[in-house]
Parts: sequence; structure tokens; C-alpha cells
Amino acid sequence: MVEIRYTRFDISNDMEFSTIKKLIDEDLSEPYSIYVYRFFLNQWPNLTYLAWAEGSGKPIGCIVCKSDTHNGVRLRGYIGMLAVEKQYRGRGIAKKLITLAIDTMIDEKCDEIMLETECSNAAALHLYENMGFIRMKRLFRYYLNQGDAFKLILPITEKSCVRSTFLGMDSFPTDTIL
Amino acid sequence: MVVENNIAELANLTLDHRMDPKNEAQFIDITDHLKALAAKLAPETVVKEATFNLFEGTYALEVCNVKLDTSLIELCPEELEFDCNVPYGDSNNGERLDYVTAVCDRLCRSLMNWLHDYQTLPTTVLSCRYVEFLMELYTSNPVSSLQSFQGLRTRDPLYDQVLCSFVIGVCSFIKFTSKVLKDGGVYEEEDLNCNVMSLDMLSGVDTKEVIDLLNSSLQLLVQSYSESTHLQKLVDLVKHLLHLPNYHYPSCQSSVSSDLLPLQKSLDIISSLVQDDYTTKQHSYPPGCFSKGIQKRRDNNFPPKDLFEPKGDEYVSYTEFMRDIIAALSVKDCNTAFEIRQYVWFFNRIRQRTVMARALLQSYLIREDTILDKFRFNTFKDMHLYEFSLAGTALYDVISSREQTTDRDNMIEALNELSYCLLRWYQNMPQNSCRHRQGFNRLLLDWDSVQAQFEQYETQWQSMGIVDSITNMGNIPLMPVSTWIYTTKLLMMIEFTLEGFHLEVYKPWESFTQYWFCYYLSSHLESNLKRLHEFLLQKISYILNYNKRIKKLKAGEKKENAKARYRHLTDNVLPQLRLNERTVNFFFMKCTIFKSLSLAQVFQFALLKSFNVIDSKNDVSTRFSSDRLIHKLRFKTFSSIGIPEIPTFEQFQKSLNDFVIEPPSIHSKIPKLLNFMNTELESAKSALSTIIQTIETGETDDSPVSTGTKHVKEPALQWYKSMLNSTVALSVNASVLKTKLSEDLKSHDLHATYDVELKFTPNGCYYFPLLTISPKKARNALPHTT
Repeated sequence: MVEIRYTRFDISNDMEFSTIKKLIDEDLSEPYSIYVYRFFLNQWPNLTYLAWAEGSGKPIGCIVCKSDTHNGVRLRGYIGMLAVEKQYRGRGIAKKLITLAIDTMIDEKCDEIMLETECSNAAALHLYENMGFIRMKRLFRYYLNQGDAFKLILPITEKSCVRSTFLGMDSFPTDTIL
Repeated sequence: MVVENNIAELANLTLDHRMDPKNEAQFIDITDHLKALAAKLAPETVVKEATFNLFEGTYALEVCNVKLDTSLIELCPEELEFDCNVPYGDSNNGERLDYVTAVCDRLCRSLMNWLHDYQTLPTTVLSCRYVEFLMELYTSNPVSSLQSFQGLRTRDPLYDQVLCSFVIGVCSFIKFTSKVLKDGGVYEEEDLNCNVMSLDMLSGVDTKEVIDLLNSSLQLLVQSYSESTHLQKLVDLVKHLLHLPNYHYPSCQSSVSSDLLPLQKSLDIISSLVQDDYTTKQHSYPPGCFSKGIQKRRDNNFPPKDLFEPKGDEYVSYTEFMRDIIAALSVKDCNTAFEIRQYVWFFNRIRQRTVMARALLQSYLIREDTILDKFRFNTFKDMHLYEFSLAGTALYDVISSREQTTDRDNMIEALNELSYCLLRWYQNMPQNSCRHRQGFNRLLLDWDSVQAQFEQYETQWQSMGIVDSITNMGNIPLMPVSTWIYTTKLLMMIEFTLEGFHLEVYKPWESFTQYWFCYYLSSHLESNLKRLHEFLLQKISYILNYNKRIKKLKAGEKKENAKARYRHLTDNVLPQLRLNERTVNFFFMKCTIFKSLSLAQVFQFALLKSFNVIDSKNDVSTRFSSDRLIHKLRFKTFSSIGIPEIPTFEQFQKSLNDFVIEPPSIHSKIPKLLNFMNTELESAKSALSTIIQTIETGETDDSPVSTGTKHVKEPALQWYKSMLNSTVALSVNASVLKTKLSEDLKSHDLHATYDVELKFTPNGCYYFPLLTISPKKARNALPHTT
């Protein structure tokens, strides 16, 4: 069994950037422009992790995330992209990448983690739901391929469970991370 | 050589380069400057225009990226050389008629691929070269009359007259559809993609002129082309589609049509087109006529996409499209607020109606501040109240009084605050099913807020002597307005909860919580309805006994006044009270159905839990969160609801334990649990049978319930029959579960044996999928993308 090691993305490394782009482009149903990659990777390089197989000079998997304020009241982490090369699937690499990203987002005081995935992607749903994510809503024809999506959320703090309307940053405790 | 010279010249240019006034094509090489500036940037810097955000980015086209850059689309020679001013086909053997017919047929189908199959315009209608050519002509010179429009110049009337008018008709319909979309009601992109690629779709041309043009084409075909039957039908169909603006309120503010005959006629044309069995594979059009070229040539915010080839069932789709529109506009036949409410509730219930019908229903029903041009919106809101809880109340006597007082005016003003909430409820109903549930999420905030507000108002009005007490319930106040608001809110809460099953938002482990919550909400609704029902019986009894009071009075003015009041009460108030009582009975039955079916689901969950097959907590890692927090997130929509009180996580857990069968002798206790469940299902069956029979036979004054479904009979019947099917399916499922769980009488822990799934039953109601078990599967596959 090949050993897998995990590193945080190095923004000054062009090879890492281009490999992430290649890994995602190959599998994703939505074609992303260079801007989308730059948007995530340049602003939140600390929320992108890479998986490396022993002996391989390039990453074989990656997760790309961001975190910012949602509705001005809670900090929301967002998993934008996740990909693992076909030959390395089934070894828990995706799960490890998600875990690394979530741990970092929790360290950064995120109140919740959100993502969207195609309703037809049973494997992705199974993975995320096994980590505590729940489907909050269904989004009609969300993707360019006409497919519906589920919006999944993992609550980290109480703030995630209160409607934005009733959530004032000043009045709510921010240190309730579990 | 030329290129080399240019490169050399470019290399000599600097930012200080002086423009040569004689040479227009000049370029400045900024490479070094760019490199120097870029070298100063930190690696994480993004150079962008300030307003360019992630949303813009996802739509950005990336030069030289074959997945995103439409300019990289390669066209074949036929596409490159296609000329719209050439009369393709041999004029002597009917080939031109075949070509024009094939182009028009595909355009007609493309309209349906766009509107019914949710495809984009550039991959359907706009991929036709004639559409692109003619609309580019119009865009460059947007005339107000087609008489000054250049059109096609092939010198063949089939192209110049018939095809040109057909394209204009199709584009005029696209213009109308864009208008419907812009006027709101449905959502750009997810419901309909109206990307016209910056082409002006005949903005200045009146639809009537387009219809006249199509009529001229029809005349020409009838007179000069005896073999053109299919083409004539196509032209006629487009002509009839252009009648739709007559039913769109903002398009014809003064006279929205209520005559649905043109639409019925279009159904005949569509039926005839279906019978033609004209298939696209058997007929060809001029080579290069349908092309991705427009994506390459014009503004395009979307990645390159292949053309959508018609599937062959487009005229069948037209039938559904037109029937849905006729159904939407038939709301005009409703006369009461309850009928309209029921019409709108059932309209989009069995299946999601075509987007045009959903949009038209809204614009046709809600016309500025009126409903169907019959009732002002505030009146419509009053009708809702009157037809439910306001009839026969002291509050109604005050607000309907002719005597104008400040208090009365204040009350009317307060009541008018409800109109906005009601309007939003109506706007939410025809949305696509995902938006429909999300809409409730927002609506519940509004309705909860007005409920709190009106409880205060009505308490205040009571202190002013306007009291409607329920004698048999210890003189508790009815609060007719709050009662109506609370009923509407509870129904929305139930619907929001059950729609989650329809949209597959819940996992099986969540089904206990959701169904138990639905049972809980239905019980509150039932209590609320009981108060109202008691009040209605009390009022009916009061009026029926009023005559006895008159008899006791001495002859004179007082007696005459009492007689007049008696006549008013018996003629006007009593029939409404009786109708309201039947309406409340209908809602009681809805409660019984929701309660019984939900409880049956709860029993089945408890049965599985008794064998440890499932639990109401997520059976997964909660390293990052907790069961309690996940539960709270699921109930976030209701987190701010004041009444009813939302049960806590612990209360939900305790309730489940109350249902679970405890060892020993679990197997021997199963029949008792199933007996309870079947008794519940029998109650649901009985209520459903009463409702179904009432709808089928038509409602009379003697009917046990008033369903308000006279004008929406078929969808209502389908809905309640689907529930009846679910009742049967739930009973059968319970037996299946019992059999499977009893296969090994010694084992009480089947956690590792079975997986649980929620499965929709054929013809069953999508609110009640079945909890089914199957032998556990090994899972190895992992996802690759989100």
C-alpha cells in the first residue's frame, strides 16, 4: 500500500496550483475559469490541502475551501472543490482531506461548514453525511447540467442553529465551539 | 514575413510611443511594464476589477480554455458558408417546401425544448441561422413596424414570406416569455433561461402585426402550396401561441382575456401535429442551418454547449404545456376565497407544472392590487377571514358597520396588514418545489410575527367590548383573526416538514423526528380548530333559537327590529356559518389524515428501533458537532416560532423511547404495536374516503365537509387518492417489516444486518415514503467532487 502524506497548499508553488486545477477540471461537471481557482487559492491558501502519494511528484488529491462571514452574522466555512485521482480512490483520502480542512476551519472559529453537491452524487452525500453534515435544502436545477443540488451544512456552534435575523454578532457568544 | 515585420515593429513600441495619425492600426507593447508590475505583486494578490466577485467569476469566460471559450468552437464548411439570403433546395421538386417545413418544425420543437425541457436558447431556438440573421438585422435597426423591416431576400416567398414570418412569430413569443419572466413569479436560470445573447427580440413590434403577418403566410400556403398541410399547422400553432399575451396582466392591463377558446383551439392543432407523425430524422433542412455558430459570434455568458437535438416528443410536451396554461387560467372560475385558495394549493401539487403556466397563474390571479380583477386585495383578505372564522363574530359586526369611527378605522387598518402576508402565501404556491419549501421558511417568520401582533390587537379589542367568547369552553375568547392566522401558520409548518420528504432532504434516521413533529403540529391544529368549531356550533344554535326570543317580545319597534335581525341572521349569516362549519370539518379530516399517517410512520420507526436497526440520532461520527446541535440545525426554521412551543431535542428522544418495544418477548409484542398502527390507518382511510366521495359527488349543503375543490377536482382527487394508496402501502409495509424482523426470533439486535431506506411508493403520496429494510451493503466507493 502506497503511503499518502498531506500538506497545506503552497501558494508560491505553480506546480501545486496547476495540479489542483487539473485534478478538479478532469472530474468536475462545472467548468471553472482560472479566476475561480485564483479566488479560492489566493485568498484562502491555508484552507486548501493536498494529498501526495509516495513516489509521485505531484499531488493526487486536493480539497479547496474558503471561509467568510455569512449574512454578516456568522462565520461560514465552505468546501468548494474536492478531487482524488481515480486510481487512489477508496483509501480514505477524501475523508482525510475533509477532516484536515474542517479542523482548520474550526480553528479559525467557523460556526458552520457548508457545501453543495449534486443530488445524484450518492458517494459524496454518503461521505459528508457520515461526517455529520445534513441536507438543509434542495436547489432546483442548480448545475449547468440541469441537475438539482443539496445544500449540506455541518453545525459547529450554536450560531449555526439560529436564524440570521435573530443573530447579532455583539449579543451572541462566539466561543461555543465544541 | 508580414508577421515578422509586425513583431519587429511591436518590439520597438514603448509607452511613450507617439501615435502616427496616418497609421490607424497601432499597438503598444506593454509586456515589460506588465512584467515589472507583476514582479512587485505578492503571490496571493488577485488583480481584478473591484465589482468582480465569485459569482461573476463562475460566469467568466477564460480565453483559450476550450471548456469556457466559445470563440474556440469549430464550425464546418456548411456552417461557415451558410447564407440566409439563398433559397436552398430545388424549386422544381418541392425540396424548398420540405426545407422550410423542416426548419419551422425544428423551431417549434426547439421552443418546447427550451420551455419544457429546461434547455437554453442558444442551444435551441437561437441556434437557427435564420433566427440569428433576422434578429441581428432587427437589433441593428429596431423598427416599430415590420413593414420597414428588411427580412430575407431569397426571392422565394416560401423563405421571404413564410419562413421569415415564422421566425418573427417565434421571436415575438420569446419576447413575451422574457417579459413574463422579468415580471417575476418564477426564477431566471433555474426555472427558465432567457439568454437572448443581447439580441433585440422585436421590442418595438406589436404582437398583432406579427399575427397578421402569420395570417398572410397561412393564406399564401393555402392558396399556392397544396402539399403544405404540416407547415400550415405549424404556422397556425405559432399564431395561437401569440394569443398568450392576452392572458398576461402586465402585457394587456386594460383587458385581460377570459376567453380560453383560442387555447382550446391550439390543443386541436397540437393534437393534429401529433397525428402527423412528422419526425425530424425523416426530413432534412439546409445544411448548416442549425449551428453552434451563434455561441461563437455573439456575446455569451455561458460555456460552449452542444446543440440540443429534439427528442421527438415535443408535440406531446406542447399538449401538457397548453393544458397546464389552461388549468392556470381556469382559476377565473373560482368565486370564493376558499375556492381560490384551494385552486392555487392543488394547482402545482401532483406534479410541477410547466414554467409558463406557473408564471401566468400568478400574473393572471394577482393583478396589481386586485384578485382576478374581481376583488381588491384587502377585500380578498377579508373574504378569507369571513369564510373561515370571522362570520357571525362581534368583530365582524363592528368592522362591517356603516358607522365610521376611529376605532373601526384602526381595526380595518390593522387587518389590512395581513394582506401582505396573504399575498406572499399566494406568490409562493406556484413556485418550483424547492423554492416552494424555501418560501415557507421565510413566510413563517412573517406569519409568526403577525400572529403575535394580532393576539395583542384582539386582546385590546376585547377590552373595548368586542368579545367573541366560546361558552362551552369556559368563555375563552375565540380571537377570530388570530385563529385564522394560527391555522394558516400551522398548515405551513406541516407542509414545510412534509415537503422535506418529497425533496429527499431527510435521511431515514430523521424520519421519526419529522413525523412525530408533524403529529405534534397536527394535534395543535386540531385543538385550534376545535375552538373554532365549538364557536360555530354555538352561533348556529344562537340563530336557530333566536326566533324563540322574538316570540317573548311585545309587539312594537323592538320586536320589529328583532325580526329584521333574525331575517338577516338566517338569510346571510347562518348559511355562511354552516359552510364554515363544513370547511372546519374538512380541516379536521386533514388533521386526522396527517396525524394517523404520521403516527403510522412513527410506529414503524419504533419497530425498527426496537431491533436496533435504526436510531433517531445520526449513526455516524459526530467528532465535529453533536447530535443535539445537528437536531437544532434541522429545526432552525422553527427556532423563533413562539406558538406552538417547539419540543426540545431531549423531548424528541424521550418520545421515541415511549414508542419502542422493550424486551423481553419483543416479537410477541409486535402485533399489539401493529394493531395500534392499523387502527390509526383506518381513521385516515375513513377521513380520506369521506373527502374523496364528497369531491366525486359534488358538494351540497348536506355534504359532511366543504373541500372548496369544485374547480380543481381532478388534481384534488389524485392527491387524496395518493394518500389513500399510502395508507394501504403503510399497512402492507408494516407486515413486511414484521416478517423480516421475525426471521430470527432470537436476535434483537439487527443493526449490522439491515440498511434502512425511505422509498416512494408508486401512486402513493410523496409526503409518506416507506421505511424499508434491505440486507446491509458494503460501501467502498468514495466521491471525487462536490
